[in-house]
Amino acid sequence: MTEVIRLEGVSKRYGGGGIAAIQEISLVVGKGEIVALLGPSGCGKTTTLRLIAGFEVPDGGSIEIGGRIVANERIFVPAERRGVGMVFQDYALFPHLTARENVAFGLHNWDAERSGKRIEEALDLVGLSELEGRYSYELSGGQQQRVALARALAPSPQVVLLDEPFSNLDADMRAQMRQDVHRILRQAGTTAIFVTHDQEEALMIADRVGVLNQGRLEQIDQPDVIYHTPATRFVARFVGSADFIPGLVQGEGIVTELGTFPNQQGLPSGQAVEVMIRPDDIELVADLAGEATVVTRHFRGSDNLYCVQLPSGRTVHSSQGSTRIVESGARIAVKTDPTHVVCFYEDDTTR
Amino acid sequence: MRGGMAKGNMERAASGETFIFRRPTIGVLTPVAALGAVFIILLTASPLLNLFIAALAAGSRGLSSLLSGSVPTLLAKTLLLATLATLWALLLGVPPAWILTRTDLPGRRLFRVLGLLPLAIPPYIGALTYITLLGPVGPVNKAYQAMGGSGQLVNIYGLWGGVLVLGLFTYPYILLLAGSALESSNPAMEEAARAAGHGPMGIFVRVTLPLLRPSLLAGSLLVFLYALSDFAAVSFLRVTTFTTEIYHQLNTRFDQRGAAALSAVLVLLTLLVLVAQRKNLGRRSFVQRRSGAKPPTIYPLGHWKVPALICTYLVLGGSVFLPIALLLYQAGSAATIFQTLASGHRYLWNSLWTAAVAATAATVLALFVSYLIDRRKGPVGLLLTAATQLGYAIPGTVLGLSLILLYNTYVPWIYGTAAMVVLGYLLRYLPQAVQGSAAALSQVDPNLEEAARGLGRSSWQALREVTIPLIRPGMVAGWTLVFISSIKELAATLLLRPAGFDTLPVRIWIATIEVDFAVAASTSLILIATTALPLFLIRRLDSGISQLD
Repeated sequence: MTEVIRLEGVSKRYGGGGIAAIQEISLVVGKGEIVALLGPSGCGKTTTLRLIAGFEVPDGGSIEIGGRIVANERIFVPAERRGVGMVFQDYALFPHLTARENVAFGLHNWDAERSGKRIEEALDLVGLSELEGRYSYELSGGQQQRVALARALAPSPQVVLLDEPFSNLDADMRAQMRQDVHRILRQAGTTAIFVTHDQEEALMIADRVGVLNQGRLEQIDQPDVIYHTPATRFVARFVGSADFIPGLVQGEGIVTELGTFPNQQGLPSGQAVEVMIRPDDIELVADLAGEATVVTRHFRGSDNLYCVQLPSGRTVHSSQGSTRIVESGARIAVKTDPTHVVCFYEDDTTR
Repeated sequence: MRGGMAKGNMERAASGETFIFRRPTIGVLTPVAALGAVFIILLTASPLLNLFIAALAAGSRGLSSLLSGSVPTLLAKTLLLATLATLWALLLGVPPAWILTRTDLPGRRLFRVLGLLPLAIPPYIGALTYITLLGPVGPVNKAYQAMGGSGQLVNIYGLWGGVLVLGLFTYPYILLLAGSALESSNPAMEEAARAAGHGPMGIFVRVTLPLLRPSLLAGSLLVFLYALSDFAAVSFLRVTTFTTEIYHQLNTRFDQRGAAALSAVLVLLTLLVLVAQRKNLGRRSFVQRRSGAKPPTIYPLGHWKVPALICTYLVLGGSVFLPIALLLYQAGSAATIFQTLASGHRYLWNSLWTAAVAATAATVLALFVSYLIDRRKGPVGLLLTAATQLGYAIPGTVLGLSLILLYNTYVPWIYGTAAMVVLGYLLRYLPQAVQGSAAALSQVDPNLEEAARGLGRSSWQALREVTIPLIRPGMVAGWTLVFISSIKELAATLLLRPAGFDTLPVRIWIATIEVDFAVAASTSLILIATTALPLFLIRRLDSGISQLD
């Protein structure tokens, strides 16, 4: 895998040594890869993007693009000389230029023939060749985004950065654009980093997802790995939902009130842990003599989310099919069979 | 696609492989920007600083005799004049503002454009026309005497004449500001009042008027400051105010220090008003201009149509039709006007080029200043804002005086050239240019500049290719405002011009003093024509801007 982006121990503070926006972030992105930076607002994901783009100057660490150092403690290559494409949250199309002129904007150093061809290619790729003469106010949100993407891709940047690319779109448009953008990026073979607070978006589009929390990169891995084996409690809660039940390691098993799970991590006997349980790991079995009680049911369209109280008084959540109705207050048995057993030490707040 | 990409990369590697080292910054500014900021602050603040130093140099004895003698009465007179003129302008401006924006008065669009015309008529020309009409030998007093009256029916000279004229020719500020606030106010608020059982009158008093307060305050402030700073109109109308007294001290008694002391008092007074206004606005937020939302409710006038029309005609008549008719009457014939133009074309030329140079310089400086203020928050921006707003606080007479004091002492080779005149216009009207481009710039998303930089443009190229094209209407509007204001400026020109360098306003001044009313009137008409034209252009541009967003 050829490296396109390398961040090493990058930090950024705002307000004269005040609040740390990001701390010691290290990250490598390979050629053609699509990486999502996921986190709640204020976690530093946009700052990371802006540091890579060259709109912010890091306070520490180094950034390499295509094997060239673009920022460290001595060097700072400004945005216009980094060869990075950027798609802004509000698209930032130039309102005084047509769609075509927007796409052409980054090709000012190309000769006319080549740039003309390139503009056609880029507009074609995003499927907007027919609307090239329109101004941004004559385009819908989705069309504006396509223009923004074509504009970013046209100069063939080493990497395209997308800042919350779908947050300004309506729900139905968003689903469509996710697929389209993913297809376009793949087709162009472009390396891309995008920032989002929407886990579904990140899991769907990205080859790898990096989860940020309070300026730190908590975990970066493939979407299924992030979901099934989160490295921290924060990741477990932020990506999908999770309950944590106490357990005790006894040799090959971890004993909990939901049964004994295999000790996959090889934890020492006698260790008190908390086991992560996803709602889709819990099965509700009709049993009038069951020890658990249904507390609430929330119908969510595609499924029912049940809150179930265990004999200990602890509650866990269970996701059931949309037609599976169990009344609140009903006695029920709980069965669980997680494929991945994820444990965190009880006394540690992060692990 | 992939092939194209590889080629692009190679090109980039060939062109952009240079290492760029971190550039030094002073705070958030590059050295060039910091230098520019310092230059502008020096340019704008130094005359005033020097003035205060000169005022203090007048010594405690001179100062105390001044303060105990004429100053208190002068202060009372000036404040009285400004207050009455402001009230009069409010009375003239608010009803037409409401009628023209919120009722179905026929021809209201044309009236709104005509309502701006008094801005093209400088109050000193207005004063001339009213002296013609209501002066001791004017038609009104003559008719009165012919009917057997003795003495004068009206006396235009003095405080009430000053109030009459200043209000009549400054109310458009209030009409403009109140009009646009009324136009952009949220109809839902009035609908809520109506749902609560209020009629049109109740809605106006309880909802519309309170919401108008910020714009009325801003308009009143403009009128009040204008009245404080006016020199020419009050001179013609023989009202003694600070500005006329300063001129008197300077030109007949040749007492620069006394003039400086008086000026300092006047500037402090103006600053006090400005600070009070800032505080007032600080507590209340501005009425936010909405775009693309529901237009405000239009009330049918019904049988109020005739009174509304009469009210509108009276205001416009007194401030536009009557003065222009009187000027035409005074000028005599078209031949006189052409003759004035032919023999005095160099005065027109002097006016045009000084105003154009000042407007251009102001626009360039304003772009720099508003960019720094908008894009680089911090103390530098605040300092620059304050420095460039100083022009508002300096009446033309005071500015003329302080520039003379400063440049005569330190840069004598500029003193006595037309550059002084340009400099005077520039400093006095820079705030208008800054406002124009700052307002436009605040509408431009900084992301657009970043997008341009991401596409390979330097900050400078981004400014040139993206920002400037987008804020051009605001810059043009600012340029036009400075141009119009400069071309009308009399007091500063009188003090700063080199001997024999006459502009149109100076010609009007001289002709009036020489009691050559035909020349004064025809020169006035030429001046009004030169200012009315850009005023209409700016109005067109204004509608162009609102179409853009």
